[in-house]
Amino acid sequence: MAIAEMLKVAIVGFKDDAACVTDIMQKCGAVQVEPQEAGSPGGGRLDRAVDIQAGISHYESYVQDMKYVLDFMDKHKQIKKSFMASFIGWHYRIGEREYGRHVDGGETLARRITEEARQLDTAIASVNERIKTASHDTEVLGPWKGLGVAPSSYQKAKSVDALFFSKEKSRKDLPLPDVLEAVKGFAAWHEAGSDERNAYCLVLADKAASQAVSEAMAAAGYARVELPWTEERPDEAISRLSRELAELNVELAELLKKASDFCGHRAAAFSLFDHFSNKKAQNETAAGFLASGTAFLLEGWIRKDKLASFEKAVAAAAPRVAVITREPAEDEDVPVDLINKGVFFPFEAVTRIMGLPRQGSIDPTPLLAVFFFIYFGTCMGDAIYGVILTLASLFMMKKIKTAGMGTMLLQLMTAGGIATILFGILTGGYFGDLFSRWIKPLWFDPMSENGPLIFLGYAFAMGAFQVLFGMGIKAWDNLRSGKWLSAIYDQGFWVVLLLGVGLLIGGGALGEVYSKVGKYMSIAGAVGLVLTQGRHQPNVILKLGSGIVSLYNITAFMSDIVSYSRLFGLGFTSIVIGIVINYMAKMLLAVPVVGYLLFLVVLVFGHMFNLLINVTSAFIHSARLQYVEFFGKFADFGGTKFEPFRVFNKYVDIDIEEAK
Amino acid sequence: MTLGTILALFSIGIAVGLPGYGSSYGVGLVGEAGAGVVSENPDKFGQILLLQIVPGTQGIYGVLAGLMIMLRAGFLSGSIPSFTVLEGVAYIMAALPIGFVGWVSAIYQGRVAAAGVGIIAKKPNEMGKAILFAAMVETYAILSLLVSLLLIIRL
Repeated sequence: MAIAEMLKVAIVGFKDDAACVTDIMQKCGAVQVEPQEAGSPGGGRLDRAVDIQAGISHYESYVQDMKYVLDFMDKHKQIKKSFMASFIGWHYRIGEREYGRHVDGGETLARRITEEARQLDTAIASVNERIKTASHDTEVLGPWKGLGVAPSSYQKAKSVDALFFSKEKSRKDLPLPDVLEAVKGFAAWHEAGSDERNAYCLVLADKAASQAVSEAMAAAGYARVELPWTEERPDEAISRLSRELAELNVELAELLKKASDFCGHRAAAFSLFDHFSNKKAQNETAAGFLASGTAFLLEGWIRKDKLASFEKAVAAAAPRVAVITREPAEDEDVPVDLINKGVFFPFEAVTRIMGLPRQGSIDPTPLLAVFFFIYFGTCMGDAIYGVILTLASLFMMKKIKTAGMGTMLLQLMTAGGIATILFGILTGGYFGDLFSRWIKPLWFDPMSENGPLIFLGYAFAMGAFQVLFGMGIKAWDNLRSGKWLSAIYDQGFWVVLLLGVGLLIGGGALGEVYSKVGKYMSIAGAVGLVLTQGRHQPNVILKLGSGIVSLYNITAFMSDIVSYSRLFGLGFTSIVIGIVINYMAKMLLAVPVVGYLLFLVVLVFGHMFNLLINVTSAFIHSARLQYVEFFGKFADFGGTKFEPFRVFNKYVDIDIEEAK
Repeated sequence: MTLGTILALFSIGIAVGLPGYGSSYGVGLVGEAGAGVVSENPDKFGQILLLQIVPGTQGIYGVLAGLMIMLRAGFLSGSIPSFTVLEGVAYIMAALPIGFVGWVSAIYQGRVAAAGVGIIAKKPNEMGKAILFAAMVETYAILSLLVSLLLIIRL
């Protein structure tokens, strides 16, 4: 429930053990390695070592191969991903044993499937190319069916060139004889027929005159057509091509079937991609180690709670390697990791979205948890929505196994669902007012005469409480670090003033005494602030002046508290929209025969829509109240994230199976 | 039908129409920016969709305020109620906060969210921050909704 304690760690060993140590570090995921400056005492870095560079490029080539294989598979058989997976990240679930089977002897398997993918890819490309050529030839030859002569026989002619032309029928130009009359050396022309759009003709010209004929024809709007020089007559060629096309299509279908079957290797390709990527990362990390002739040295950070298990793993696998730790020095930038267990774990997501607190400050996660829980429930405010949300997130946790942030968010939604159920019961929200005739609220009905005002008052009260609580934490933090004067001056007086003002305004309802107490508390707090808030100023006038100006900060507190009215705004919106959905659904009951059906459809879809919109707003605004109004009072953000060297899987999610 | 009734109907138009205009503009902006990213990387669709919803809430607040007026003024019951001119103007006054602030804040929120699409494109893990930037703008829409609702309830 706090910020993890970090130790500076140095690991020294013989070069032979470097690979083994990186392997253990990756599996434990407890050490953040700091790349060393080359030229530090002791010589160069391990990246000078030939085998490290070779290792990187060796695994890189396998990673590229697997990427190629996966791209090939995606082209032929898309994998189905659920819509929700696009929100919380998608992974292929695989058993530990199956993963092990793919990865043992992975290089042979990788080579085999890459080769198979390449062959299929080439074969498919070549068949596609042939289909394209055959279809093109068929299309070009189509209008020349009646030619009666094989085009290739023209090609063999010694003194004559055969020129084929087409012309759009809609164009009105000179008739063919007139065009060709102007050209000297012309031999013969033949109109080969026409289709819907074009007319086609063949001109036989002296080789010497063919250039002139082409130009004259082009000027008259005729376009040259290149016929394939087939040995058969065009009609024969067309029927041959159509036979070929049929065969090619069968061949293509077979190849595509094979490609689709090949996608059965997907699990292997996913596993191998991740396996090789991790191996490559091992070598890249090792490249950052310092090295002398025979030894290596690495420096980094380790989480104190993981030190023992890491040392044990190292001692078992590489007994000649030394792990040396020390406490961080004052001026070192220590990376930050959070440890929150049990019920607080999901709320870490809220903190992490904001960033990380500085090393040595307070982890706000456990402090914000209860507030976030209540606010989320308040904004949703409907017991049935809560049940749906809880069940849906539990279901997804089971279906899509995620790690880290994904798990946190799903658990957070589960917690939010429970809070929603509770607030729904308190305010009698069950699908809006659908059951309000039978189930009464435990606390108050927001739709009653005074409901909105009670709701708003509750929101302000929560705000005032959390703001004061935040100041309390800051005071405690000051006391902890021995700044007890700051705790009294900067927080104590403010708390007295704010409580006093609160009593002064609201205490009257409880009795005369309360508002009187409030008055004196306000005065005492204000005087205290005026006297102390200017204490860093050099002279008395400035001291008093800044003290008085500091009272202006009371507006900041007021705006903080007003900001909590969003709890009412969002909660009330959710309830009213729910009621309106019920209203519209009930109107449909009047429709004959299908009335009940329409009623149910509008009810279900309407409430689903309301639920989805509200989940987003409830999350965003509950979080915002923590970040701006609460964290502003005490938290110190801007810590550097602890990023240990660990296994990173892009595609697979390995289920650890207990050995039976 | 009296002039006051027409004015009361007009107040519903203000409450629903202006924020609806703003929201459709804002949601549209984010959609345009998002389509570019999705064309490169379809996996980001879910995240961007979440960001696109954010400036859409003003439209819903507007509908909410409009529905509240209809409920309070009795437009949803059988016969059309009749109001004096002053009563009608009072409804318009109550609709103004959410009408104007909902309209303008949705557009600005859309702009912030559209810029946030860039965050998702480059650093998908920082999506929470993109959404929070946009959510900061929403505060004012909520505050104005609050005032409109409290006024409508008292009318």
